[in-house]
Amino acid sequence: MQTASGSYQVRYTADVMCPSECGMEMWVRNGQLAKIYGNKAVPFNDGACCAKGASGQQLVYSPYRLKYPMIRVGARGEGKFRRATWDEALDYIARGLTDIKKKYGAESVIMDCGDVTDRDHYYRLFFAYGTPNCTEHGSICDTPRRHGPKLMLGGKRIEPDVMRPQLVRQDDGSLKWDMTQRIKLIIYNGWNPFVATRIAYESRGTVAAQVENGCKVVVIDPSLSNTAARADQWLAPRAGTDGDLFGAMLRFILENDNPNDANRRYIDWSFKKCSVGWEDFEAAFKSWWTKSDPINGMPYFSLEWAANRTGLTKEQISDLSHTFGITKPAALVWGMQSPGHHFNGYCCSIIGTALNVITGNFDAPGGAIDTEIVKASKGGSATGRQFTKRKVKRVIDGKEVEGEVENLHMDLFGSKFPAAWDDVVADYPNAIQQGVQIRYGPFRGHKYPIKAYILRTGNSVITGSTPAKWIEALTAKDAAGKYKLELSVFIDTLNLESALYADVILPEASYVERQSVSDIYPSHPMIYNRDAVIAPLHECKKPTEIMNLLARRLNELGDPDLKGADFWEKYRTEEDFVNEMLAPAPGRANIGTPLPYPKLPEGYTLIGTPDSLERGDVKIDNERKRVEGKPVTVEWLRANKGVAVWPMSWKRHLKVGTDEPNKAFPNTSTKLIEFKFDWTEGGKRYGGYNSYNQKIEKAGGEVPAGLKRIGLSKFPSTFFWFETVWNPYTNPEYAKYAKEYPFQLICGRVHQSMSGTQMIAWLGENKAEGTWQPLNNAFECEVPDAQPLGTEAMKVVKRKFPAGTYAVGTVWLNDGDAKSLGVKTGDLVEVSNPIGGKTRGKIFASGGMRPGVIKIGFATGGRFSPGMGPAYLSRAYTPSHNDLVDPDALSPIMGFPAYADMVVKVKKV
Amino acid sequence: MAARYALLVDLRRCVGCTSCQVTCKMENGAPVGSFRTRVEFADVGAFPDAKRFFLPLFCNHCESAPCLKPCPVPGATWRAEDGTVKVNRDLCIGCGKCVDSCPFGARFMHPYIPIKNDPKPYYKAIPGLKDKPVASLRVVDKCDWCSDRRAQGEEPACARNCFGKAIVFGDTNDSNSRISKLLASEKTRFVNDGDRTKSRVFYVPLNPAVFDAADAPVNPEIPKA
Repeated sequence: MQTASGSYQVRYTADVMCPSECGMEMWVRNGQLAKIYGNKAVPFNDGACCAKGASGQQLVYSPYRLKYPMIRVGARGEGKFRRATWDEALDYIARGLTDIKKKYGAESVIMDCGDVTDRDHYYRLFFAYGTPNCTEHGSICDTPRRHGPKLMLGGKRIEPDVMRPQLVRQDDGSLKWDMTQRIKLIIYNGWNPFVATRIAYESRGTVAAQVENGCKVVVIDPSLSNTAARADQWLAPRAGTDGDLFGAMLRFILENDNPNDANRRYIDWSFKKCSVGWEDFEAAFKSWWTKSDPINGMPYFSLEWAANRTGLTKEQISDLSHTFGITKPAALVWGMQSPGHHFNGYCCSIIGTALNVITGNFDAPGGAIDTEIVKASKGGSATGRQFTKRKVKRVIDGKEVEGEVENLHMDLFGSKFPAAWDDVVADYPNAIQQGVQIRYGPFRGHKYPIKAYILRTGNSVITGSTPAKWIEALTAKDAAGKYKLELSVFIDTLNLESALYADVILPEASYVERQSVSDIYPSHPMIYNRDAVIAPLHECKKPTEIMNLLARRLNELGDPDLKGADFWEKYRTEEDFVNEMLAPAPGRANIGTPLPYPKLPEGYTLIGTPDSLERGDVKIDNERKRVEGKPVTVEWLRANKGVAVWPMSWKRHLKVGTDEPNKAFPNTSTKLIEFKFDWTEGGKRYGGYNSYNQKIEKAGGEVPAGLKRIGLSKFPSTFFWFETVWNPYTNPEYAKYAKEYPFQLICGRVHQSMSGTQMIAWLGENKAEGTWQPLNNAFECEVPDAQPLGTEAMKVVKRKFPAGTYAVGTVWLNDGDAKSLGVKTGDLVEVSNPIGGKTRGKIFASGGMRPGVIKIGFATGGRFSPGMGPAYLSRAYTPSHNDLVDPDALSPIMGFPAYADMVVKVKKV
Repeated sequence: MAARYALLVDLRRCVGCTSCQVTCKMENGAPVGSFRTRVEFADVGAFPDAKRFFLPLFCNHCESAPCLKPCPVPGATWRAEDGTVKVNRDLCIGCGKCVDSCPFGARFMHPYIPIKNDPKPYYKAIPGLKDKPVASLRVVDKCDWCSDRRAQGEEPACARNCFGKAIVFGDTNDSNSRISKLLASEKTRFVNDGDRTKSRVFYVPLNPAVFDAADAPVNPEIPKA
């Protein structure tokens, strides 16, 4: 194409317009990003590109992006900055960091890489500087949802096996792209891949399974999401009852399973061979069956109990349970909008994982795949985690104590959430205000303040729990009138609200102006370049350069931990860095059926390009059980349309062609599926919670604050249950709010309305769901517009948008409820909660919402940074869901904000 | 046999992502506020039986295209042999007659593309045209099934990027083409009024109610025939 089209150059890269990070084919002309398509060589998205991906030009050429470094001249939050040079800005940051490290220790610095994408450079820099407190947005995304898979499989994301094409080994030894859809039932609970996808293939794969394989799709969601709109069945339960429903499904299946009745053969008992602890789990689960629930007096997990709590009928629940038990292959999938955003989502994701396993669907062809443990590895030593193993000393109560940098981690060794393997961003305001108390590990008793907050491509002021709480922390002053947080830095392409509270702003190159690798969740290993498509615009710099420049400046200021050999001498180009990130790929074992590489030993970890492994051009290390081919490099990827794909296999926990466990997969302490979480056998301790319980034991039994809140003294050894918060229908503590605050508030993201997409006019011109509707007041603003003539791809123009033509965030509620309240679509209302939170927005009323529930898009409204363009102009009448979040409702195990647990009332204004 | 093109939207596979709408703008530079392609949404029904429909709307490249006849300039808008209804930007005088006559709202005046042809010879035929300064006249724009891409052997951009793989473009004279096979195996229909104009955009309907329920077309002021 590029030659025939004359002046276009083609680049293969990875998208970042949403977290799905699809493989892209971008065309460049005159150094400008001219065309955007999906990369046909990438099976993850199979050549497709959604609206967000296709709109990338309007972000890259946006007048609202950060263009040059800036230094604050007013108070934090005032938004007064002066333009600075890179030298000045970097010097300001480096001096601050040097000073803080001397006065308080490096651990007093938080590096928050809000967006997981391309975070590795910043992690490396700050790990080397000496702080273990490097984080990304996972901790405010959906950790309770990931919990079950992590605990029981060592994984994270269970997704249906619908990615097609798949590269599959054939009986004759050849590799073939297989398009066959095998799945017969998909249940998406609070998961809306058609709008808020992280998993591109769930869009085309779900509908393909329906059309080609008669697959039934059930969506469970209080709101008619776009995914629900395309489901064969939409079930709309009361908010926050996902675990109740899953619990009832599990009880129904256990009570009604009959191996001798084809219509009741729910459980595939072969799971017991490849798992451990089922008896314990089952016993603990069953122990609840005889307990009476204080809120309804019914036995836990019974059909009537679940019907009472969920608002679904007993028949709906038993039908769903039966259908799931009897239909194979199937996948039960839950999302960030169900267990992910509820206080007790942990219990739900544990039961959900168990349901997939006992029904024989785990990693079955057409079943449920934990994509976290089958995707290609990346990052390796580039991420710099090795620096956290450095020994450091701290004086505690007059005594010098030695430990590793990682033992200073504010969450993993802190007083509240020592099992928070994804960090606790929502607790940072407390840490800034009150400091960190290390209560576990060698530094037990150590206290330190948080003195610097470096935020990169995140917007914690809006999304990191409640905005007011963040603003209070970022602007808090000590007795001398100085900011408690001595250094606040914002690094991004976009100019978001958090930038208003920064001392220094650094403009980072946009996703098409920098290099890295894809971060994706396919059903078998693959990886692709995020290649630089165009040169950085304005004065923006790439992460590699920012990392090297800051490391060098810190070194010049006398910090011996930042060495040229680890940074500017090692990574001369960004390609050097990315090659190191690619070195461990694919890093997955040669396992499953059909065996990916039948000529290579089963169970050995595979490293290297697909073609070198295929040729057998490998070194076999029998001691370490590794097969090493030629390393994947940027250059190799470029020569192969940007992507490396290794073969698919299924039942990767079993020896090839058998039902015996291979003890190579999944990624747990026993390499078996674990239904118990802490136990000792043969003098050895096992289970996903064992290391955290050991921390507690070594600390004399001191109970972490999170566990204390739900009455536990240790992390449970198998199935456990506790209630969610702010739910008057399931937790007696909140029943008193039901009358005055008759609505449950839920949220959910719509990718058209995220920070990076809300400013894009092409996405404002469309609708998504009830939370993103053309209800704007008339406005005029600058937008980049495509130029069909001339050499400029995009030009910034001033455009008038009449009322009702541009989508904005709304307050979505049931049309019958609206009628009762005397409001209609377009009316401005105030939504308020019992703890003083309130926000304003326009009503969107439809039948697509369960009565008694209100949905507001995540971060769709009330956007007060001028950098948000059109969204800034609508801030007075668009709702901010985060203003209604309880900042103290951090869920007990991972400290995750209970984003979707709240009650509200609605008043017309 | 010479190629005869058509477009098919398999609504069973449409996921409502609006990629066709946005990809078209990216590909063809339709300005903010105007559309060659647009996805309509309709929220209908009461809880718990509520539904949301997605309906991608395109130029129908009608065989009896109502937009052709009103054009006063020979060759300014015409249907090519392969079935594509096109605009010649060198000839168009920006009178807007075709825009007014399309029942589907598939045409608009492009604010960034001035006319090249001299409108004066048509002042008589088009009342009011002479009152508009020549410098203010803009050519009409519409879907041409991505002629530039097709000249390179590629399918239209909307079909290329379609996230659900719902859009199929192809030659209906080729019985082996994917579109021909789908037309043979599936029951299809047109958008409302497409029967009259002999639309070349086919839909495999998921629920026929979509065609009446979806929002008004892009130019709601144009009365339906």
